[in-house]
Amino acid sequence: MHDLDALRGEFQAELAAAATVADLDLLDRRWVKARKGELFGGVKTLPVEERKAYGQRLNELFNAITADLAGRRTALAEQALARDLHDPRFDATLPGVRRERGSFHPIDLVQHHLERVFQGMGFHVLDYPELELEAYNFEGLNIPKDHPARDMQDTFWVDPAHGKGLLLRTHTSAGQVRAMHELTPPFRAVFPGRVYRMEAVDASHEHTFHQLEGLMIDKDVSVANLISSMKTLLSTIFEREVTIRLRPGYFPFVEPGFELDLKCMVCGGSGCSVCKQSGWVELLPCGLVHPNVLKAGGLDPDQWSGWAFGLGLSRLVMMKYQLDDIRLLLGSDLRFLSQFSDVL
Amino acid sequence: MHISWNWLGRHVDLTGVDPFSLIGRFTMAVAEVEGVEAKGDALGAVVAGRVLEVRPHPASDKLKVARVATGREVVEVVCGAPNCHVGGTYPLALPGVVLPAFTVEAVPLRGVVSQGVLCSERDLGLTDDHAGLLVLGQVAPGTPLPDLLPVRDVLFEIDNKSVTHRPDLWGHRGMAREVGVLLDRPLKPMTWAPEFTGDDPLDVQTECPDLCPRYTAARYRCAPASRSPFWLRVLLERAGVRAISDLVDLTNFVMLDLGNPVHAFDARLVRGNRIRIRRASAGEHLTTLDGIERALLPDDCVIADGEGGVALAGVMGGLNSGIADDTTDVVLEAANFHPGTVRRTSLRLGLRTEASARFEKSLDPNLAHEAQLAFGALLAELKPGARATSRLYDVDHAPKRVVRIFVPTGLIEKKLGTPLPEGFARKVLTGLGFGVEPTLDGKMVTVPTWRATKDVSIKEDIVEEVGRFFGYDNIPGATPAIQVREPQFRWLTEARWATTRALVLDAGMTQLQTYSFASNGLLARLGVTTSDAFGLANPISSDLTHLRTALAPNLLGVVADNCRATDAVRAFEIGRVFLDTRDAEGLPAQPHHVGLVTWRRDGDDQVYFELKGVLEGLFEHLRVRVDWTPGLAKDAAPYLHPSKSARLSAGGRPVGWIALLHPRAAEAIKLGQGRVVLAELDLPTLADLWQRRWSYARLPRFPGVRYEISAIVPFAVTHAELEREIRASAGADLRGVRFLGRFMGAPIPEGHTSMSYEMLFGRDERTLTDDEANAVAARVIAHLKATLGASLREA
Repeated sequence: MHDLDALRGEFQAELAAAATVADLDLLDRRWVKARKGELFGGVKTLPVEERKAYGQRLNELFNAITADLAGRRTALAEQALARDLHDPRFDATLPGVRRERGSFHPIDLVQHHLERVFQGMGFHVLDYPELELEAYNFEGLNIPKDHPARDMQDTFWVDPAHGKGLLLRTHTSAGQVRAMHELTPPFRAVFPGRVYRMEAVDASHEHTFHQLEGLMIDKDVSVANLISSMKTLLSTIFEREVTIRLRPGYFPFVEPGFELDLKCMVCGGSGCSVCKQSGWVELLPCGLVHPNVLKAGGLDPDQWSGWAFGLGLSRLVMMKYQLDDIRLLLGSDLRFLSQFSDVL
Repeated sequence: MHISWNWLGRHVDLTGVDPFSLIGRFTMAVAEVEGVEAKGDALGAVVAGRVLEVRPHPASDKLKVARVATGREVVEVVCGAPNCHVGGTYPLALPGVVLPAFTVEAVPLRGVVSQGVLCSERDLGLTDDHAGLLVLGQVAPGTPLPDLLPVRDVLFEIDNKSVTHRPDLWGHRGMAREVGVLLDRPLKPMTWAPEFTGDDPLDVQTECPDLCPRYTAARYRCAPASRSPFWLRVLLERAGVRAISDLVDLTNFVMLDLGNPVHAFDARLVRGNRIRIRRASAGEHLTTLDGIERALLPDDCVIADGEGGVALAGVMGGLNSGIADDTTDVVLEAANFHPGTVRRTSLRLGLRTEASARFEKSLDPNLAHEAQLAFGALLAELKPGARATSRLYDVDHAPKRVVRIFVPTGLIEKKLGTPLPEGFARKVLTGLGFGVEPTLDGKMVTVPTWRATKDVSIKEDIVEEVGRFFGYDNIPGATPAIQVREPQFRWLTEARWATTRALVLDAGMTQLQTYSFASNGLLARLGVTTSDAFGLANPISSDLTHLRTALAPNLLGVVADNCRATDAVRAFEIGRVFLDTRDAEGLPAQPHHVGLVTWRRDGDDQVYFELKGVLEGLFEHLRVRVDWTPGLAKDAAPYLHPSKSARLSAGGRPVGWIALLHPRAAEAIKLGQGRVVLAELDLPTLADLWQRRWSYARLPRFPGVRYEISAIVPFAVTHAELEREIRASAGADLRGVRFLGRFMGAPIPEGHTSMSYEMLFGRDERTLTDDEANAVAARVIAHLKATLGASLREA
């Protein structure tokens, strides 16, 4: 007959050597699954009067083995858990696994933000041609031929062999008459986009840049309305209270016309290099729409009036991100472009 | 332009007014003051010094030593001026006085200590005259200089751009009128009244009254040229004009005073005493005062004498007729010329002068007459014995319209959006020279001639005149009444933002913007030879002469610019391209395109599938079903790979293309290692096909059966065809088909690939049996064999 105590001892020794769950599974197979049947089967070979006692002792043995295995499993599991909970090799601050991260163009970021701001205030967002008819860019805006504003130096004209009276629009104002034809008054609309001027390119001048035009047409629109609307718009755009002032400015398509200045947000008005010591930053031209422009748009100036402004979008982008060179905007330097990781 | 405070004082009473207090109000009401400079403040410390004694300097022939009485003491001064005489009184600057060029110190000059400086006009910073000491005449020694001469002044620098629309502000009188309104002080009336009697002959006629609405001329006789008096020289200096000699200075003075240029001819050189105002003849030439011979056109207006041209009207006088130092007989022209003509002539010849800058702004023709009177009066004042020796010839063809504007009651307040003090508008308008007559229901405003040439013509202009003096800062804001209306969505704009977001946030690409111009150099390297692009008449450079017809070339430029500094470029642009088709208005088509590019230094043909994956993702976001046809259209650009490319269409409409860069093109732009893939899409088409309304696919209640097949096909059979035939033959029992991969090489026969697909079969109403699934599979296999010549690969 087997020496059950010796078996017990053998098992204990193997159990002590078992280090992993796999080891325990092996022990389980060898001791419980394999030998249990063999050992219990051996009971039959015993004399009848010894069978009961031996059988009982076998039961005790295997109960103990089963319990020990279970206990050991639990202990190992707890150790594994403890190791997992206090693993010193795990550095939570290591760089994550990244996919390639894209970026928006700064002009698109600002333009999109402005479009949403204006839409929230009930403005339509429109988009007008860049290669434009002279009539919309000049005559319709009360700028007849021979006007100094039409100097050949400033406008890109298409070769007359390719088309007569075609130019690259010099301002988004070219869309004002189109908007008046397209929309039924009263209305408010903005139309941003590229504009083109024949300029030598340097750190603060580009031949291709962006503007955003605003137009509001209603009955009895006044300068006071313009002041209030511009203050609201600018406060929303800059996300803070702004102080503005209107200076007389001359533009053929508005009367009265103004230059709108913003109290310098860098020095608070006391004077600095950004505002050239004046305390004010010249921001945008605006005014009440000239009756001739209303007429060109098919509206009766005695019935309808409006205000308009032209915002230098590229300049706003330069101000917002403190850019020191406008050429970055339409340039190809990925080190610059990839910085704009904001969400649209 | 420079405006002198003292000069303004000739036209409006400025006593007691601090010039600096006006800067802000002037900027807000009239024109932008860019800078203000106080002149001559330091000269308060310069006093009159009388020379008591002069002796030669012991160590220098050119220097003298003078003993000078200062009123309090006598000092020794070393002086090198030629006119330092005993008994003479000159400006003396004692040590400590700060002069423009240096601070005075008691220093030895060649061994003799000079206890001060006797000054010339240049030393004092008044003019650049340094020929001798400034002579002060019989005044008490010690008198401060500002008490003797107008050496103190305040200069305003006005931004010319802010007065381009105000022809009346290009002279001090016009500016003074505005200042008068700001101060509520009247403008001093002009009282020139020289006599124009005399028999000297002059025959003035015009042949082109359209080019010259008014021409006045008169003859004058005077002593030969001499130095202008101090007050005139210093005012000219302040205005930025060098004083030369009295006649010349006087013509400049009249121009800067009244804003109307005048021109002096030497009467000896006005041949035949005839003045003709006419167009230039074809082929006519004229040598202007600067010595350059000008080729003239019949569009140019010429002043001619009995034999030929003597001046380019409104622009510059002729070399052969100008006044000289010995001129004593003058013909003075004070005229008005058609602004467009002067502008065109000036632009064409590249000749911009103070005169042309003024005439091209539409001056008031009446001003020509005033200028002639002013010249006559001032000449008599300046040069004793000078007088007019002929009649005043006034050839006046200027239209005598009176511009009157009716301003209804309440209009100004309504347009400004604020109430005005009683009588305010009338006071401002009359101060500016407007006539105001009340009527029953408003005011009839008469526009003064100097504002009527083009500046003020409608009632809104009157609103601006009142508004600017009221001060727009004094208008509180008033929120406009807002109507709530339907927002109008422009799906093209929305599609643009949706595409931008998908490409940046989902595909991780960099958005950029490039010029609308195409680079000729780049296109040439890329082998683009023909062009249906729009050319510019005045391009910014010889490389950028045409507008772009595609985004791809600029994107390649970006890759080329960055490929040395980085290992991958994944970028896109959304922008307009300009095509040679026209709409009803005659406007060229200029759709927005989406241009994409991917380059990887370690890249191979796989970059094509990487970008294709990006496009597939985009199309899924927009829910547009796109068909991919291998190869490109015949007119595709030469820099695109002819076969490793595809045309995209959806709903039968072309959407765009995708292609690897042709290897020759990659070499031509020196990309070095790696491969480039490009794609370009038409945004309006995508926006149109964008599907925003759809219903969800119900989740199947019964499980499906997966079935894998591998079809061996020749290279020519594409995945698109296989997928299409699988779907067609499986029919309604097919829930989905997924490409698993492909395999080439042994044991697959040469020229063939093995394409593996997983098909998912299933029914909505019950589970398919195995037999049924096998039947579908068999159908598919048979179909592929029959239509595509596929053979099945044994599993």
